[in-house]
Amino acid sequence: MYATETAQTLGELEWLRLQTRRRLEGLSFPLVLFGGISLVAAALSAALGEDAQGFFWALAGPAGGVAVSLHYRRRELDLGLSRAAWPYICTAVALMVACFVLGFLEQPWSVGPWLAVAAGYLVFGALERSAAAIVMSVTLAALAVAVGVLEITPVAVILNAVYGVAFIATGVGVRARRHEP
Amino acid sequence: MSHPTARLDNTVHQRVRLGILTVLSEADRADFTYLRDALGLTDGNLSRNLQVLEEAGYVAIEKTFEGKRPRTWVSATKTGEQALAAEVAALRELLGGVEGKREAPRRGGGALGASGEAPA
Repeated sequence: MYATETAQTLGELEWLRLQTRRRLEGLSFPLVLFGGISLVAAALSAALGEDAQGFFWALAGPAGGVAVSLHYRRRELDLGLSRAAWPYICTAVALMVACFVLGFLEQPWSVGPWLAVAAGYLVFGALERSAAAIVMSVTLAALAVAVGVLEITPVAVILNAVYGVAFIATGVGVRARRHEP
Repeated sequence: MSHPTARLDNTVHQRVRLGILTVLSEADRADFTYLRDALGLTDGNLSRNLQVLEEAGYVAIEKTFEGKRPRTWVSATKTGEQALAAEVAALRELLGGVEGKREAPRRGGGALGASGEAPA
């Protein structure tokens, strides 16, 4: 095989790999969905107090998880392309359990659930090989630590709002990138 | 150490089959229609290449039904993934040797399978 042909084949394989990866990208839907839920939680916390968001998340979190799994399933059938589901399911379950357990902690560890969320999305970002989701997760974790250490209040209002905006912005950005030629 | 050309696998080396295994190395599984469209192939050409890969133990083919509609899902086996990795490594080494270790271009153009007719 000539060098130019080998180089062209390798280039085409890399292009095909990137195209497949881009088509598989499905993180924009959960990011936008949970971003919206976070903003509602922030509004509830501001209006009714921080405890209200705990009850809200206990219902909205699992409901959102079901919606995301249905979305991935529908997408798999429409696209004809899929990734293994079990790493996502394990991460989502671990994330929900961690949020529930850490939700009982007091200041400065009351940021625990948000650290768990950032860690969960770091794993999701790694699974999807999404640099944007990984950067977002690390940034949000740093912000949550800063809020905890500096004892900035009200924690639930601030972090739900910040997470909500960051999730939606990243989700929209990831989706826009997916449709790039 | 042997020359990289000695490590090229005749089954995987064909351009269409390299393309099929590359898609399947990124995804857990892909259906027949997706592979056909992504690689720009005809049904017959894709079927023949999949048959070669299946006989070599490089892909697993699963036929399912969605309602009354049949659907064919293809996934790479561990052996297939290893064969692809070895092939790409050999190609890179070959290119490096020919072009003085110059890195292969990151992007290419055109459909990989456009000229990839399966051998009889």
